[in-house]
Amino acid sequence: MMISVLQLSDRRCEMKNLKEKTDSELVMLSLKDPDHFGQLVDRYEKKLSRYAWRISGLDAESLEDILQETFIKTYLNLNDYNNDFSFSSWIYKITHNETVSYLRKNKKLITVPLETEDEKQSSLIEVLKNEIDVEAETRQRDIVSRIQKAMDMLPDKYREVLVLRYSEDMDYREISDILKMPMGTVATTINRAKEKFKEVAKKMHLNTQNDG
Amino acid sequence: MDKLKAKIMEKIRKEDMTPRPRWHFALRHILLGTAILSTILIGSLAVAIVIRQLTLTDWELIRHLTGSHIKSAFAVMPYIWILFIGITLLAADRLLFYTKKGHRVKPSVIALATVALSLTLGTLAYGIGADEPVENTLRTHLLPYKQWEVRRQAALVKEDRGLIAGEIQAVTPQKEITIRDFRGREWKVDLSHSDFSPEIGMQIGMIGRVQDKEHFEYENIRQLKRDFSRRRTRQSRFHFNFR
Repeated sequence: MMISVLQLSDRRCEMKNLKEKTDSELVMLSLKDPDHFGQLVDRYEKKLSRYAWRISGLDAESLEDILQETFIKTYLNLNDYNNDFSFSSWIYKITHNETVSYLRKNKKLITVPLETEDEKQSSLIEVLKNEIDVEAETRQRDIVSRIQKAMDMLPDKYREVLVLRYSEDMDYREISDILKMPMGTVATTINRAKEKFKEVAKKMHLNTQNDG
Repeated sequence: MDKLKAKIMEKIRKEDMTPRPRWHFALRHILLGTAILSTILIGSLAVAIVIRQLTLTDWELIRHLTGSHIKSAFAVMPYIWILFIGITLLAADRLLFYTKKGHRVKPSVIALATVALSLTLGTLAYGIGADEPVENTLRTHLLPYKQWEVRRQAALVKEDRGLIAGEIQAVTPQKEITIRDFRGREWKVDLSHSDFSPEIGMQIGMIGRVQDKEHFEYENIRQLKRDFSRRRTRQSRFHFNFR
């Protein structure tokens, strides 16, 4: 009895230690023992699922397929990871590629979900809301609905940078590494995406007023 | 959420998956690097060939045909090679994109660097004559290339406009030469009043006029530059007919 309590205690300590380890340290440990890879899955599963959902709008089942493939690929390619990049950028890049590849294979239409209870999701809405002149807007749901429609109408490349920048809170370097584009191009694309978004959102706002 | 983690971990264990070995990625990077380097080197050889073809071009004769410097340039540009350089630069640019950090460099910087590198290496390759064996091999083994070159040379034969160019076939003791122009027609030319020293096999260009079906009277004559011009002295200036 005493031994099993000690073992449980050791196990808890080990788990606590693992949680404190950096991504790079976990990569090194996973190369020695696959069980440690589970910690990386724990750490990124939610984030990546949310990211894949935002850029694809796919259902839970498809997202699970994508994530499973992403994590397996990540595991198989662990030796290709180096510290010049953040692990986060690296695994986001793999997720991005897997999502795009899944959409191509299945030829699914992308609809971008924006309505969510997630805090970060609402921060995207806030940021984008500030970018357009929505002072006249009074009802949050209308704004959300209009932003969702506006995002749906954006080309993929614009939607992707907006999601990474404002939903995933990535900096330009990370976006550059995930989407494989120079930082200057990232900045330009974000500016264009915001302009395009404003344009689309304003048009939709006018239409709504006309309709109303 | 734990369900997915369990599924992944089970798959890894069940299928006994192990991360691909480090050498696998090292080899891939080496192959990619080699491909980039090879593309740049091939592009450099093409640059060397362009330099050579432009240096070998007899601009005086071309100008006689076209009447302007710009038209002359357009008339003799080795377009195939320029296109080839463009393709290699594009390929190098694309391959660099697939390297780990290639995307971090501005495309304009990559383009400028590859162009500068190709020009520098190309000039060096031209300097050491590395382009000659390449072109000779192409001439021997690639019929369309040979035909393209013949067409370029044939552009120098416009007897109706007083210009013929070709290779000397025979020289008489009286200094009458037989020349086969680059379109395959033979002409007899009297060089007895010229200080020009003709040799069989020498390629020459002449400005003058057609006398009859077989004879051409030259006003000035010039040896065309050839591949071996780097090693041999040529009679490069015009020799005028003062008769």
